[in-house]
This record gives sequence, C-alpha cells and structure tokens, in this order.
Amino acid sequence: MTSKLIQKFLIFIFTATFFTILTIGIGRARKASIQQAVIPVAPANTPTAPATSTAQKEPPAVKQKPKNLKFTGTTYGTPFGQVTVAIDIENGKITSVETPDYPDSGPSIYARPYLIDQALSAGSADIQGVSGATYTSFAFQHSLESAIVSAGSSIF
Amino acid sequence: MGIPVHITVIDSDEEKILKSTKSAENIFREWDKRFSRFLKNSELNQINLGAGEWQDISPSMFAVISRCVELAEMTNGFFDPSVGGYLAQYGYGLPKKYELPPIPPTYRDIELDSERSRILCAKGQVLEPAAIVKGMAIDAAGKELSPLDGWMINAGGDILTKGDFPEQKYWNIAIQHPRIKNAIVTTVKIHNEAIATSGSYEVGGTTRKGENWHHQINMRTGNPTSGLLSLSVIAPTAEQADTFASIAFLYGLSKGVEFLEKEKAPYLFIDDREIIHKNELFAAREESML
Repeated sequence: MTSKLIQKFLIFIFTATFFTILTIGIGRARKASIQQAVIPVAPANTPTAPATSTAQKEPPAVKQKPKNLKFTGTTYGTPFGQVTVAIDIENGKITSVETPDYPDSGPSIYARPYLIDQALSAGSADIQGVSGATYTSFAFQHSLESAIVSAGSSIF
Repeated sequence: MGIPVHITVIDSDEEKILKSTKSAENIFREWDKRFSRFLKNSELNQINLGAGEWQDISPSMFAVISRCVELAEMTNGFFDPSVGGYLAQYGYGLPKKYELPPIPPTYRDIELDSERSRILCAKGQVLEPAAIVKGMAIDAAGKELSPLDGWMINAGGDILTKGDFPEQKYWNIAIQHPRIKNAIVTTVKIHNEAIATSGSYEVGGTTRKGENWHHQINMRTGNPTSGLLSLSVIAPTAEQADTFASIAFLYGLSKGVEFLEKEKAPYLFIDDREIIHKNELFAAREESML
C-alpha cells in the first residue's frame, strides 16, 4: 500500500515538473494555441500569451540560447492509454508538436497538428490543396501549387 | 455563396485551358446566382420570399430540392433543407430580420409538382440546400474541364480531382486542423475522386445571441450538433462526398460512423476533444507526414 502511495507521489512530482517546464516553454512561444494541442490535462498556471488567430507579432526575444529546444514530457496515463508529449521550440516559436507515445488504435488517435509551412519545407508531402470546412481558408493564401500548373481563382 | 473557388489545371494547351476554366467559372456563377441565399435576386431567395403559394421553379431548382427532400426522408429529418429558417433567424443569410414561425416548417411541408415544375412551401419556410449544392456545382464545373489532362477544383474546402498530378500521380490533399489555423492534421492521396469536409469551426463566428453556435444544425432538435469539430469524407463524386459529409456530421459521431460504414465511404472524424476517428479505407490513402 505504501509503495502505491510513493508511486502516486512520484507521478505527481514528475508531472508537475513536466508541466512547469512546459509552461515556461510555452510562455516564450508565439503560439498560445498550442494549449489546445496538448493532451487534455491543463497545467496549473496557463500563460497569458494571447490566443488570437491573427497574431502575427514576432516572438519576444528569447534569452536562453539553445536555438532548438526539445521538451519531452514524462509519460502519464489517460483513459486512452499512455501519453507522452514532446514539443520543439526554435527561436522561441513552437515548430512542432509530437505525441511519441500516443496510443494509435481505434478511437484514441489524437489530431496532431503539423504546421503547413513545416510540412512543405520538410519535403515529405507536396500538398496540392487543403480540405477544410472553412469559407476563408487560410490555406488559400498559401501558394500550394507547383510551378508547372496554371490556376485560376475567383470568389463566388 | 460566399466561398472561394480555386481551380488548378494540368495541360500544355493554353487556349484549351483558358476556354475550359472560363466555362467552369461560369458554371459556378450560374449556380451561385440561382442557389445563393445571400443574393437578393437569386431564385432561391425569391422562392423563400414567396413561400405559402405555389411557385414555378426551374428544372435545376426542382432537381436540387427534390434531392433534399429525398435525403430528409432518408435521414428521418436529421437533414432538412428547411434549415434555412434557423440560419436566417440567427442572422446568417437572407431573409433579413426573420423569425421562425411558432411551429417551424419541415421538409414535410414541401410539396413538389413535377408535371408543372412547381413548389409549395409553408408560409415562413426558408429553404437552404447548400449542404449538397456545393458538391453538385463542383461536379458540373468539372465536366467543363474534361478536355484537360488533369485538374483539381477546390470550392470552400470541398475538392474534386481528375487525372494524374505530374510525377506523383496522386493529388495530395491535406486536412485542415479544426482549431489551429495554419496547421494540418494529415494528408491523403486522392485520384479521380472527391473529398469534402464538414465542420463547425469557421462559418459565421462562434457565438450568436450569447450562445456557442455554428451552422451545422441538427434539424431534429433545432440546435447545432455538438461533439464534433470536423468530418472529411472521400467519394467518387463531389456531390456524394458533400452529401455524406453533411449528413454524417449532423448525425453525430456514433450514428455518423454507422451511416458511413454502411456506405463503405472513407472517413475521418475529429471530435471536440481533438480525437480522430477514422476507418481503414481512409487510413489506406493517408500519406505519412514524416
């Protein structure tokens, strides 16, 4: 019984430490919207960075200087299984969110966000279009066609 | 109809391209002029304003409204073109300053006379067939592009492709993340088929009269469906993809999955916890993001 208590205590300590680090990392990042991408356990102190979709401001100057930071959280349990969250931060901007340990079967697949620009520059998938339920899709403002096609567009 | 339309073509014949894309654009203009509930002079708005009396309607309109009634009957009212009334009341589209009658009209109040191409709606009934019109317009426009080697139409996020994309054959279509604007969730390989995405995260803002609101209204309850953020469905035609995505979204997750499994359609739901529910048919088309 005691070992279970110790287990719970350790899990709590590690989880709290993870979220403290995560919170500091997010506080320095441009996109507060990443909060939504994190698996549903809200950290105690959410940063106050604005979560506006039109935020195009430059990130505040980041004092600490590894250019690339990788945060990997501790693994913890959810109703869907074990979860680990990892985020990459480059020059104060979150550039990717990974869930290396998210259970991938049946209903437990998390909708990991991949930034469009990152997907394009990674060169893995040449994207010809974006399907979304939007009338003013942000994606239309990106030129996603390759140079050899000609295109026409209008608003109807 | 207020949606951006983007056409991508693959061909080496400039003149053929210009001619075909011009025809395709005209198709969209025609459909818009006829079916837009945002245009005062559209046939649709005239019908809505004249509800309560028998009205002559065009064969196009007749075909679309009949199809809507068919789908309403099939879904037992989950889908109903009378949704226009709910949308107008919330200030989304015409008629302006509109209030739903105390007993809101449903698809059962629609009478169609095929011999004389006429429609009779209940007084105060507002029709909105947009859930399937987008797909139908895309297919019609696509026919104008058939002389070309390859093409893709993207109308407000519903996409139809034909032919090979150079050097890769498949057209890679990314699925937009419902909450993060410039992010995507996955990419699928589409070839000679369509993909449509229904969702609740963009149109018309997110609050009306102090409540969380979106335009995907479950006509059995009169309220926006909850539990889902988006649904992407793949089908041979844009009309089918649009129809499946619209209906299954209104059904909600479990009934929607049941419906799409029966239709053997590839699907990807994203629920409001941002969890994905997809079938093997969809996964088989996915392109790795790594």
